[in-house]
Amino acid sequence: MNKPITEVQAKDPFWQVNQASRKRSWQVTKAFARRDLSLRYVQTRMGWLWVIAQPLLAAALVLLVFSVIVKVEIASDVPYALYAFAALPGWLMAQSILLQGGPSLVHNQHILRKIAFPKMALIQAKGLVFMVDFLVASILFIAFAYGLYGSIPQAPILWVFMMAYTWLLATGMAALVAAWSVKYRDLIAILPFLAQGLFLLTPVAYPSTRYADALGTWDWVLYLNPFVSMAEGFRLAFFGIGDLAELHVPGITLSFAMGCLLIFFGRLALRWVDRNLVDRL
Amino acid sequence: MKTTIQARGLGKAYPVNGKPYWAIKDLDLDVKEGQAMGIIGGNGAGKSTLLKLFSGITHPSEGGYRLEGQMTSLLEIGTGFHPDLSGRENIYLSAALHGMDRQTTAQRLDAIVDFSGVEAFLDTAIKHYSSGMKVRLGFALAAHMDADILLVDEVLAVGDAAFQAKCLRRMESQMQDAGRTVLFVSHNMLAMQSLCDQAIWLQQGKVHQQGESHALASAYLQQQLPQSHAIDLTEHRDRSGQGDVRITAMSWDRAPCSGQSASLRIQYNGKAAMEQPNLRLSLEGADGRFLAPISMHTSNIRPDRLKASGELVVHFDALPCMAGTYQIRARLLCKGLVQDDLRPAMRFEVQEGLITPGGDSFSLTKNGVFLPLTWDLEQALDSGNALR
Repeated sequence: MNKPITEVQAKDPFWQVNQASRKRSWQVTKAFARRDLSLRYVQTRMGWLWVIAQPLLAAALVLLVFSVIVKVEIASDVPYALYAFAALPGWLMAQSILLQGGPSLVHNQHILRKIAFPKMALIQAKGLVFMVDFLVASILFIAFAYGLYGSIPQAPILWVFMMAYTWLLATGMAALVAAWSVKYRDLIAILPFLAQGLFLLTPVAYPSTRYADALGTWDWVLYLNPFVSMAEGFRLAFFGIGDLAELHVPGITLSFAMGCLLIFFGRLALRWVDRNLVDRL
Repeated sequence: MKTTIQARGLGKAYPVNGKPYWAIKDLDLDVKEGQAMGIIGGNGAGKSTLLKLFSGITHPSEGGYRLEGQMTSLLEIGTGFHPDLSGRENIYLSAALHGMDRQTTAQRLDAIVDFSGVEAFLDTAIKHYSSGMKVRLGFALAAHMDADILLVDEVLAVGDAAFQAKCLRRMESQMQDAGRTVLFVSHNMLAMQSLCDQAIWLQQGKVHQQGESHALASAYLQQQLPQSHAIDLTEHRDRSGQGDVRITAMSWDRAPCSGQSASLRIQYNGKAAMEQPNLRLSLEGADGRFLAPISMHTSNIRPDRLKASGELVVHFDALPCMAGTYQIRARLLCKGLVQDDLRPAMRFEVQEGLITPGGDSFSLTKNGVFLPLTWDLEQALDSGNALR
C-alpha cells in the first residue's frame, strides 16, 4: 500500500500550505454542520419551529416597513409582497452565513490550536446549516405565491444558479471577514452593523432602479454591492424576464463581477492567513 | 528501516514584542518506522511547538520536514467535544476532526464505548459527565484511531492512574501490532520510558541529546536537580539559632519521584561534637503550609553524641509525596537548644510516578502526602460478597 507523503517547507507558496484533500474537507465540513445543526435549538422552547418562524417574521417585518410605512412603488405589475419576498430567503441565508461564519475562526480557536483541518470547513458548515433555512424559506415562499396568487417560478434553473451564487458569495465574504479577524477583530465587532447596512442598501424590497433616481449617474457606486445581482437575479428567476419592466443590466453585471471577485479573494485571503493563523489568533 | 519522520533545519519563530522568538531552531530529526520517540525538555524547550509543526497546525519559519504515512495528532484529549452534545455525537465529531470517516467510526463505536466505560451515558449531553468520564471517552476515541504516525502531547497527564495504565498498555500493543511511529511528549518520565525506546531532549528549541530513553530520562532528571536545590546553605541569611553547628547542604541523591525510593542527605559542620542532637525537618507545601514532620526523635533515634561534621541521611523506601513542589524547613538542635534554623532550607520538585497500589493518584493539582493506612469494609460488604 502506498503511504501518503507530506512534505512541508518554510518556503512553500501560501496557496499550497495545508492543502487538504477534497474528501477530508467535506468530511470536516459535514461534521461541523452536524454539530451546528444539533446545537441550533438546544434549550429553546419552540425548537425547530424557529426554522419556519424566522423567515415568516422577517417577511412580516419587510412588508410592514417597506409596504405599509415607506410605501415603496414598483414599476412592474407583480404583487408587491411577491416582489419583496422573492429575494428574501437568499438574503436571509447570506446574512446568517456572514454573521456566523465571519467570527467562526475566533469562536473555534481552541479547536484550531489542537487539530489541523481546512479552515474553510468551519465557514462552509455554517453555509450548509443556513442552506437548510434557505430551502425551508423558499418552500414557504413558493407555497405562499402559488396559494395566494397562483404564481410559480418562471426560470428554476436561474433560481438554482442564484442559490449557488449567493451561497458562494456569502461564504467567500465570511472567509474574508474570518481571515481579517485573525489579527484584527474590529470587523467582527461591526459585523452586525455591516449586515444591517448591506440589507438596507440591497434592493431586496425595492427595485435597484431607485439608485438612479437617488444618485443619478453616480448610481454605479451602489451597484458595487454584490448582493444587487443576487436580489435582481432571484426576482428574474421567479417572475421571468417579461414581467420586470426595467433592469439596469450594466449595473447588475458590475454587481455580479464584484461578487465573483469576493468569492475568489475571500477564499484566497483565508489561505493566506492559514500558515500562521494559530500563532496570531 | 524506512524513515517516517524527517526534519531538516526546522525552525519556528513566534513574534514576541516585535522580535522573533525561536521556539524551534535548526532542528534535525529522523524517526524510523515503528519507532516510539519520547520528547523531553523543560518548559519552553519547544516540545509542543515541534508537534504543532508536524501536525500541520502551524507552518515552519525555516527548513522543513517530511512525513511518510497517515498522521494523526493527539495534542489534547477530546478536542472538539461540545458540552451540549451527547457522548455519541461527540465521538463522531471529534473522530471526523481527527480524520476518521463516519463509516469507520460507526464500526468502531462499540469498541470505543466499551473501552471508555460510559455505555450507560452514551446519549447524555457530556456537560453532565464527570471530568474523568470525559477524559476516558476522549482517550477511548484516540486509542481507536488508526494512523501510521501518531503525535501525542501530554495527554496522559489527565485521568486516574488506573486508566492511564490501561491507555499505556493499549498504545504499546498498538505500536507493536501496527508498527506505527509515535512521537510522545510527556513530563511523566515513567510513562515516557515505558512507551518509548528512544528519546530526544530538547533545550531552547534544539536537540540537546538523543538516545536510549532510560538513559536520557535519568540524565534529564539528574540535570533538573541543581535547579530545585538552588539554595546555597552556607551563604543562607534567613536563619537563626546559636550557630555552634550549621547545616551546610541538603540534597536528594536522585530526582525525587512519587512512590520511588529516595534519600535526603543533610550535611552539617560544627565546632565541637554534637551532644544529644535532634534534626527536625518540616515538610511543607510550596506555599509554606505544613504537611508532615520528619525528625530524629519521632523516629526514636536518640544518639548521645555525633561527630562535629558529618552527614545525616533520611531514607524513604517509597516517597509518599504526591507530584508537585515542596519545601523543607530544617532545624538542628543540641540538648534542646536551637543551633540552626533554616526556613526554608530547600525547595524541590517531586516528579509524577505510579505510586499507590490502586493506581489512583487522587489529584494532580493539589499536592500533599499519602498516609500509611488500611481499610476495613467488613461492616459494609454484603454477606457472601468477598472483597476482590
